[in-house]
Order: sequence, then structure tokens, then C-alpha cells
Amino acid sequence: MRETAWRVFAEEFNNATYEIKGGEKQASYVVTPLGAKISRLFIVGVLTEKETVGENMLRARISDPTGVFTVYAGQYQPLAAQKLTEIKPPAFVAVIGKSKTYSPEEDVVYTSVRPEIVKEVDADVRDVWVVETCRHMKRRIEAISEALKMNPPTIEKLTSLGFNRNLTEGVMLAVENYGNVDVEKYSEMLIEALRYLLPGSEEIETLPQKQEVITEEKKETEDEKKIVEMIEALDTGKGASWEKILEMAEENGMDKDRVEEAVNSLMDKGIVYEPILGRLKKI
Amino acid sequence: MAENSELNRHVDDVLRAVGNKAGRDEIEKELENYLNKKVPVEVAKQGIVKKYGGNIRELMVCVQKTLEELKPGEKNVDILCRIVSVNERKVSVNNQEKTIFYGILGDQTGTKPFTAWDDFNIDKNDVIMIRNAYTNEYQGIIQVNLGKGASVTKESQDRVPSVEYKGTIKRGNVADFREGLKNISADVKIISVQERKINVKGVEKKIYPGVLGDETGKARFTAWHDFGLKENDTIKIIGGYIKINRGRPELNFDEKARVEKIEKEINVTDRKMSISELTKIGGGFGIVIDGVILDVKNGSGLIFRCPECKRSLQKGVCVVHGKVEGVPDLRTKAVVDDGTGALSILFGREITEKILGKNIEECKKAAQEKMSTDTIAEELTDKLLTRNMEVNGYTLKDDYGITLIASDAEFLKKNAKEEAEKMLEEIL
Repeated sequence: MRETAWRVFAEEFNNATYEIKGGEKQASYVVTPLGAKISRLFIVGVLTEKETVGENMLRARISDPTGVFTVYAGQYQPLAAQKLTEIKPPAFVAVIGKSKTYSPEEDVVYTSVRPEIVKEVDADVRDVWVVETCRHMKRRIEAISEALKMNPPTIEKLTSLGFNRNLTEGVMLAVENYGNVDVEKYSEMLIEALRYLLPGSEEIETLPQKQEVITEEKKETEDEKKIVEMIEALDTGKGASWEKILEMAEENGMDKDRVEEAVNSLMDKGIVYEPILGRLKKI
Repeated sequence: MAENSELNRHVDDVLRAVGNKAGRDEIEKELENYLNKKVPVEVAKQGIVKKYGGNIRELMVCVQKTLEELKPGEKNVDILCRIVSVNERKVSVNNQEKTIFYGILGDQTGTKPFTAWDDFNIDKNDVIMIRNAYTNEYQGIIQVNLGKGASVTKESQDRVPSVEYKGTIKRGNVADFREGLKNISADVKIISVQERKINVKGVEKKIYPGVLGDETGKARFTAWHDFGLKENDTIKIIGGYIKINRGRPELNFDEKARVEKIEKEINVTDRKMSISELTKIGGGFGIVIDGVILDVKNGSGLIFRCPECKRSLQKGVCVVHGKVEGVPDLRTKAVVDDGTGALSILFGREITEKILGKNIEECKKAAQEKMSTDTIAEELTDKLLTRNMEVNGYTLKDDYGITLIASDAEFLKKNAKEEAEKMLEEIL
């Protein structure tokens, strides 16, 4: 049986720290906090950068409304690697691939994607992917919320609520391994991702009060949030370099002053810190 | 006489509620006394039960019903019926062994399974009046239960004629068809029907395979008897059973089944479902899947088939007939994935031509120019990968899994903004 290609946003995927290691003939799975039990995934986003790492290995970054996927293509993925080499960033790309994890030290887990198929696509394909991924994420949020209400949750009880087997298995593993998942955080992420598809800011302003309250509580300005996202996206372990952040911010229409102001504020609030001079890391 | 039996029934009710605290004559006299004073009968019964220190709850009003009238979740029903069969079984309740009795009840209207949670001293072919039974539903079948509050009295044999047990008929829609189902009753429309001759142990027999459907979906069927079925007939089939054919649940019915023409508008529709649902059932007919094409397999595009057996040739060679002059054809082998599951799909020539926007002659020409059929496969891959499609068809299951054989396929244009707005409205 072919493994389902999960639709999952970068942030949910990158927050996964639990992996089921497969055997010779068994697939490995990365389990996300919302219970996506991923061996294969289908992602669409913007290819923002690519670089050669090590021997014959290409690392690419693909950003979506919530964060950035890291994609590694090597000699065993010749077609995908070649496609990635051909596509010039920034470009919309679709990747179908396998989930991988890398754990340089205990308690630190990095997730990545090993591509099987890479294709340059257009904005329509990306937009449809975003909305479909929202739909699947919403379903996962519903499932895990139900599971957290149960004491104890069981596959049978979840299945009787109409969640499919694939999902209920993942949700059980998520509850087991992540405990009390911060569902609220993902609900906000879902809303953000949906708003991302709406044109202009007028729509955003007409959204109900509820949304504003949430942003106030977080006490982060839009600029700061963006910077944090960039730092997370650029961070490969040693922190994100100041130059890269600035470069990315400028691409997103923020000038140096605004970046500095946001970074200083984030450091004051204890959200980011400087592990070594010129590099920033999220706490 | 009727009045008298009515009175007897009330006396029975009161007796049951007071247990052995009073005799029948005594209760009868009491009740007549109350009724002569124009006290409503239910009030009278309650008064007597209280007077003798009985349990009022035992007096709950029971309604007598036929087996066909029973619905799931009924309490306090009376049933006059015949024991069609009865068996014993030992069960463990709270670590204590207990004997329960189960079997089939029958009356003029049909049969129903029952479970007696106590020994009511019943035998096969007894005609009995069951009082204060309750019902539940298990796997779509209504069951009669005789619990603590129930009582059974033997009645004369002539009150219920002998019952022929035909199994418990279960009403089903096409979407409910599953492996192992028997005794199904279904209202369906015949979409197509053929006549075919087969050999059963050297004897020639005519069978009538075809396609039927209802509002929930379509399925193939085989009638093992000539019911005179015609296209567009709407019929009720009672006593069908499900057989699995290459993963698909199919309805079968033979001479033991009853087929009646019915006057009913049935709008047959294809069945839209998720891939996870389809995988769970194992397959189907008239299935609609909405998903993204995530792979286009080798062997797609312009291929050549053996003129003898239609197998696709490998480098001009048929595995059975050797080197032959191939007949060109177009096909697509792909994977569709909707996020709940993945499914192999097969597009034949017509759909492949539609996707490519050119016919087989144009494909042959293009392949000749490029000196390779790969160009068609590449074009197909380019057109299909990551695109949303709605695919309609039937499935085949083998060792490698389920394949959807498409009868039609369309690119789906989705409006992401509209859908996002709709979803936001739902959430906020």
C-alpha cells in the first residue's frame, strides 16, 4: 500500500520531535504534535534559497504561510535534485517526498524532506494547496481536541466520531508523546494561513474582534513576528546570521531601521538572543 | 369476550407488579370494585399495586406490537409470537457464569432475533405472550430482549400460525453494502442488465448480471434467476446477499429472493468518497474521488499492445506471443492522493487523449518526430502532476492494492480564496 502524502504546514512539521524508525521494509514516520503520522508528504511553497552542502547534497528552503521546510536532495534522488538545480528562486514549487529527521544532540530534532518529485508550479497550485492543507489541519485540530477530552483516548472512540484510521493512529501517538498539545497555537496558525489567502488588508480588518485580542495577548508586533519567523527559517542550528535576516527582511519590504527596532525589542522581551556575535536564535 | 380479555390483561399486569402477594381472584375483585366506581383503569391498577406493596414501576404501560412494528430502543413492549428457535449460551457477567437464551421469534409479520437474560422456560414452537420486553439494535438488526422486568405466558398454538424463518431481513442502501452481508432488502433502480450463459457443473444456466443503484451509489449485481429485470425498472429486492468481486461489494440474489416492482422515484447517483473510505470498504462501482495527481507511472503515454492478447509490449515483445506487430494505444497509470489515502488510477485512451488535448494519431506523429514515445509520457506528466482532478470509475483490487479504472476524469478548478473565506467563517 502506498503511503498517503500528508498535507502539513512547515511549522507543524518542524515542531515534530517524535519519530517511529522503520525497518528494512517498513516506513519511518514523523509524528507531528497534531497527529499527522508522516512518511510521505506533499508540500507547495516558495523556493527561497538553495545551496550545496557536503558532497553532492543540495539543500533547499521552501517557505509556506507558517514557516520554512528544509529539503535535502542527494545522489539517490537524481531527478528531484536536478529539478531543484534548474529552478531559480524565488519560485513556486511542489515537492512530494519522504519525511526525515536529524538529531545532532539529545532533545534536538530537525525535520526535513527528502524529495521524490519536484515540480515548478504556479500561484494557483500553491493557493489550492494552502486551503487544502488548512482543511486537513482543521481536521487534525478537531481530532486531537476530542482526544484530549477523553480519558483515556482510544482509537475506537475516535473512529466512532468519524475520524479515519490513519488520523486516529497518529493522534493517539501525538497525545502519548507530546502530552497536552497547545491546540490553541495551531488554531491561530490555521486562521493566519487562511487569512494569507485573502486579498488585501481590508478583509483582515473586518475580521471579528477575537483576532485582535489574540495579537494583543502575544504582545508582538507584526514586524517582530515576521523577524522571528525569519530567524527560525534561517536557523540551521547555530542561529541565523544578521546579514541573512536583513536580506530576507528587505525582500519582504522591511528596511534596516525597522529590522533593528524589531530585533532589539525581541531581545528585550527575551524571545530571541545572540548566541555568538552577528547570529540570532529563538529561545 | 373482548372486554373480558382486556380485564384479564390488566389483572395480569397487577399480578406481575405485586408478585405473589395476592391471588388472581382477589386482584380481579379489587379491580372490578375500582372500575365500578368509575376510576380510570391505570389509576385503579396503581392503587391496587400500592395497596399490596408491589412495585409500581412494574406496571408501566406496555404496548403490544407485531415484530415488524418494532423499532430500536423500545421499552415496555408486549409481543405475541412463536419461538422459531432457541439456544442456550453460558456467559460471564461480573465474573459470574450465567446461562442466557437466544434465538428467533416469529409472527405473521416476520421474524426477529431475541435474547432472554433469564430462564423463562421456553421451548421451540411455543406460542407465547412476552410482556415488558425491550429492543435494541445490533449491526442494523433490531433485537428483542427479555430482561428482569419481562414475563412470559404460554398461549394456545392457534394464536400464531407456524412461521417460516427466512432470516432477519436487513434494509440496506447501496452505500451500506459490505462483505458478508446477507438477507438484505434494498429498493434500487436497474441501470443495466445483460443475460449470460454459464456452466454450473456441466449444466448450462442463465444468469443476469448488471448494474443497479440508489441515491447512495451504484453497484454491480448478479441475478441467478430470471426475474424479468429490465433497464430503468425500480424494484424491491428482499433476500439478497453481498459477494466480494475483486474488492468490490456486489449484490447477488437467487430464486429464494423476492423481487417486486415498486412505484418509487430513485435518483441514482455516483458516490463521492474519500480514499480512506474507499480503502476501508475495499472497492466499489460508480465511485468519485477528488484528489491530486502525485505521480505518473512508467508505462504511461503511447504504448503498443499485442494484437492477440492486448497486453502491452515490452520493446516490441509480448510476454506470451513473442515479437509481434504492436497496435498503438494511449493510457495513463497514475497515483491520486487526497490527503486521506493514495490510490492507483488508470485512464484509458479516451481520457488520456482529453488530457493531452490531442488524439492518438497526433501522438504517434509527435513520437516519430522525437524518435521516442517518452515525449508523450513527459507531456502527460507535465499536464497531470500536482493537479486536482475529479475521477469517476470502478475499482479492481489485487495484491498490489486498489486501482480505480476511470470512466471519466476532469481537472478541478478550485477557488482557494472562496474556500478560505468559507472556512474562516466556520471557525470564527
